[in-house]
Order: sequence, then structure tokens, then C-alpha cells
Amino acid sequence: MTTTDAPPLTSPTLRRAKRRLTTLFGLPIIPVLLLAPMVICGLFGPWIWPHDPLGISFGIRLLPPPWLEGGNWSYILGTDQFGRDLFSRLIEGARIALIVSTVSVSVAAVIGTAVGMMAGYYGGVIDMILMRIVDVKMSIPPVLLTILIGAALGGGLATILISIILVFWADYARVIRGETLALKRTGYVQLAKVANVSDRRIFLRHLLPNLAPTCIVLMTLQFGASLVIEAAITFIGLGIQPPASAWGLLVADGRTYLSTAWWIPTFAGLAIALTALGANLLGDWLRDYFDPKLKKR
Amino acid sequence: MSDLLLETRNLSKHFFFRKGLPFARSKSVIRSVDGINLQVRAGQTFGLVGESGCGKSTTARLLLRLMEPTEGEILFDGAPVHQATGPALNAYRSNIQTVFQDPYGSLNPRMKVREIIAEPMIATGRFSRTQIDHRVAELLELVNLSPRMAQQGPHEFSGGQRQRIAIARALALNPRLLILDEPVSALDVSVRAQILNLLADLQDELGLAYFMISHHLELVASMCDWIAVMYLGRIVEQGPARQIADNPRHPYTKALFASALTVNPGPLKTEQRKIEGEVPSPLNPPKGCHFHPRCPLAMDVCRQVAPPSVPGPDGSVATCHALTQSVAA
Repeated sequence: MTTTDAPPLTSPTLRRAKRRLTTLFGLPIIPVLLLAPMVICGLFGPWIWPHDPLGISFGIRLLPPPWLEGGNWSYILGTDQFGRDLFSRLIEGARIALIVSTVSVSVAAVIGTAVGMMAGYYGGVIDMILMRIVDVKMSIPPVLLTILIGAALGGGLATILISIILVFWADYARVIRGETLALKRTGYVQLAKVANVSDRRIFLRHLLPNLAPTCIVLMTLQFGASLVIEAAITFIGLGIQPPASAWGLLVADGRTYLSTAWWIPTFAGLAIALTALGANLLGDWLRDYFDPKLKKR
Repeated sequence: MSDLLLETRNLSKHFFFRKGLPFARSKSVIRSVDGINLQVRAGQTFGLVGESGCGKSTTARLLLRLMEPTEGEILFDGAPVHQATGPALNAYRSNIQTVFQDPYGSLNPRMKVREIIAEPMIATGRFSRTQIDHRVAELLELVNLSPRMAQQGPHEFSGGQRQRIAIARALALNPRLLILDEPVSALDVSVRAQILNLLADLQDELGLAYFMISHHLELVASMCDWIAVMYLGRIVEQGPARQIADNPRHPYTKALFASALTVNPGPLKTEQRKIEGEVPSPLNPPKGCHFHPRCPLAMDVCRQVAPPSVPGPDGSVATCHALTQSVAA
């Protein structure tokens, strides 16, 4: 039997204790730790990497990590089939990942939010047309879409960016439309209309600030997803082309050596998985952070 | 009688929708507001009462032009405004403003009080920054708040204070008519009196007219100069407040006021028996007089023919067959 005076599991004390354990300077520790290496390597790669990520030297082909026999501490994650330092190539890959994720998620967010707000706010025919376009988009398999774009543009950064944007924008459109429908009925939007406030101002001052939390949470979650998609597109050969480095490319190249040099695809795969995990955890944390029902204290 | 400010003629809002399976759909219509005629006079308080769902708030939304009327006219200062667009609509809306029921939903949580109150002024584009700051301080004082509060966010205020902010905003452009949709029913009883006193003071000071919507009969009876009683989209009776409160003629009004709690409840008069049953569905309103299924005086004619308007004392009007019968008899 439970005692009646036992504090509930979500008591303020317990929640405060949990927050002290999981946050540092108001930021969640684990997601930040998982994301920080990617962001730092992406921004400062050339100052960090110990070797030229493109520097081929056949003398040190397939060097294992130093804790294995034959390893060399100068190449702490080993080398690939051309003798290039894997650690440096991972850092170079972080730059591509960072560019792809930030650009594609931002552009998709802008397009999707604009479409969602217009559809939700104006309703009627505009809503119907925009949402049918979203439905059509949703019915095309993303992989097929990517292959089509790849066929048209050839492989490369542009293909990755366009593919991810085309895959992601509709998610924003749906979510934001729903939120806008709810916001449109709030007292302050109605009052703004009565006060002759222009649609532009209603969008910018009433809708956007109140949609921002949702949008930011979705962006964080999609940041993680975009990493995985970027890796997948590169893996099937439509993304970043060798000799450049990208995490998906390392996995694709390395898989033929899996039995002899497992370190080539493994570390790149880990980088993808952990960074995506970090982004997803951050998204969850942000969702709770912005939820007024879970507001602090 | 003072000047006519706002008038509606045969104002109607019908909602059409289809139900049922595709290809076997039947068209349905809800007559939320069904041909109502109202007159709001300058500097006076007009009260619209009725049960929830009777079309009170739809009427307010029609007057605010947040909805297009299906039929009928709205005249402001004698000029039709029900189809106004552009500058004409802007001019109309600077003369009528509104305060909603929910003081929490009325203020954008992501704006400062200054911006909330100044928004109608900003929207006109006619005021400078200093003019706006000056006016915001003036308005905050007018509703008994401190001008220092302009820099705070709405979450820092209580319900009563929020409603004061909403009133200050409504007054920003010196409107002549405020539409008050249940302005105090979301507030604590202790705060209600303060807000009602504030509204009364503002009316004296600024010569405002109020169009007050409420289901609170005592409040309407004490605040209003004129009362209209609405039932299922139609006005069943309207007239001077004292006349309606003290000598209601329509059986619905009688029942409504009899059901309000009084300080010294005595035995109910036979005519003032409480009405039974629920409000019929507006989707399928009763034929003839909408009230006949619940009316203690219902006659055969009530079930067939919509009742006529029967004039009464002091310009009051009640729509009831029973009244014509008694006149004829």
C-alpha cells in the first residue's frame, strides 16, 4: 500500500534534482556533449585535423587504430585503403554534415512554415491547394525522389540539399498549419483583425513568435534525420563524391573492407548515429522546455 | 432618446454544411442569427442576453465584421457598414472595438503590454513613437494601472489586470462603441465589481456606448439601458431594462428572470414556472415559434406560425402569439 504522505514522483524537489543532474548552465549535458564535436569539427576542421584528409600515402594503407597491433598513435583511428588518416577524414566529414543539416533544415523550415501559415490562416481554396500539394509530396517515396533528382542533377552537394529540402518541407507545412488553425482562433488574433492589423503584421508579430517553439523543436529533430539522410544519399552514390570526405561516403567505401579493416566504416557510422542521437535528445529536451504545461517550478 | 449609433436590420448568419455520405448528402443549415433588428444608442448600454448557443457571440462577431452576414444590414451612424471594405471598414472599426471574455487568450503572450495596447494605433500608421508612448501611459492610467507596467509581459498580470489591459487597448483609438462579450464572466467574483465599475466610469467619462453580451441577468438588468433577449437566433423580446426585468411579457423572458436567483425567493407565480427541457437543436429548430416546445402557454398557432412582434410600453417589443390573443380578447 502506498502511504498518503509520500511525495508524488513528479514533486518539485525531485524535478529540481533531476534538472541539476542533467543540465549544465541551463543546457542539457548529454545532447550538447553528443552534438558539440560535430559542430566544433565542422566549424574549425582545418585547424583541428592532424593530417590532410585527402593526403594519400600508400606506405601506411589500412593502418589499424593504435590500440591494435601495428597501429600508430599518429593515426588515432587508423587509415583507409589509400593511407589517408581516418580521424582527419571524419573531421572533414563533419563539415559537410554541418553544412547539409543547417542549410537543408533551415530552407525546409522557411518554406514549410510559410506554406503552413498561409494554408492555416487563409483557409479555403488556398488551404486546399497547398495541402493537396503536401499530400502529393507525401505520397512520393523519398528514396525515389532522391534518385530522380540525382539522375537529373548528378551526384553532389546540390542533390543532397534539394532532396532533403523536398523531403522535409511538408512536415513543417502540416504541423504549422495545424498550429496556425488554433492560433487563428485565439482572442489576440481576432482582436488584431478588429484593430485593422495587416495580415503581414499578424503573421510576423502574432503567429510567428507563437509558432517558433514548435518550429525549433521540429528543426532539431530534423537536424538529426538530415544527417542520416545525407549519409544514406552519399552511401548510394548520389551524394558527396570521392575523394572528398563525408560520413556516408566513409561507410560506403569502408564496407568492402569490413572484414579486414573494420575501423573504416565503424567510426563514421558511430559519428552519424551519436550525432543524430544528440540532435534527437536535444529536440526532446526543447519540446519539454517550450511546453508551458511543464514550465519550470 | 439619444442618437442612434448602431442599427441592424434583419441581420442573419446562416451556416450551411453538408452531412452524410458522398453522393447522398443532405444540405443542412443552422440559423445562428435569424433576422434580428437591434438599435444601439450613443452613450447607452445595450444588453443582449440568452442561453449559451443562442447566437449572442455570433451577433458580436457579425457586428465586428469578423464574419460576413448572410443577410441583412448593419448601419453605423446611418451608413451601411456590413459590406464595407478597405478605408470604410477601417473607419468603422476604429469606432467600434471589443473586449472578449477570456482575458488570458486576449493578450498575445509574446508581446509587451505597451505593444498590445498600442497595436490599434500602430496599425493605422498615423502615430509617432512618442505619441504612442504617451497615449499608452494615458490609457494605462485611465484603467487604473501603472504606466510602468507597459514594459511587462501579460503573464505577469492577474485576470482582472489583464482585462483592464484589454479595455485600455480597446480604447486606444477613441471608439464610440465597445462590444463587450461576457466581459466579466471569466473573472473572480471579487474582481467583477471592479471591472464593472471601471466600465461604468469610462462610460461617464468618455460617453461610450456599450453592446454587452451576457447570460448574467442581474448584471444586465443593473448595467443596461436596453435589453434584448435572444432565443435560438431570434430576438424574443426587447425593451428598456426596467421594463424587461420588472414586467417581462414573453414567457421565455419571464422564465429566464424567474430562474435567476433572488435574495428573497418567494413562491413562484404560476406564469413564472421554470421552463423544462433543453434548448432544441439549432440544426432542426421547432416550426412556428422556436420556443413552443418549452412554453407553458403554447397554443396550436404557435406550432405553425412564427409569432408577430407585439409592441408594448416604452417602445418594448415581444414576439409572442399569446400577447396578440390577449389583446384580441
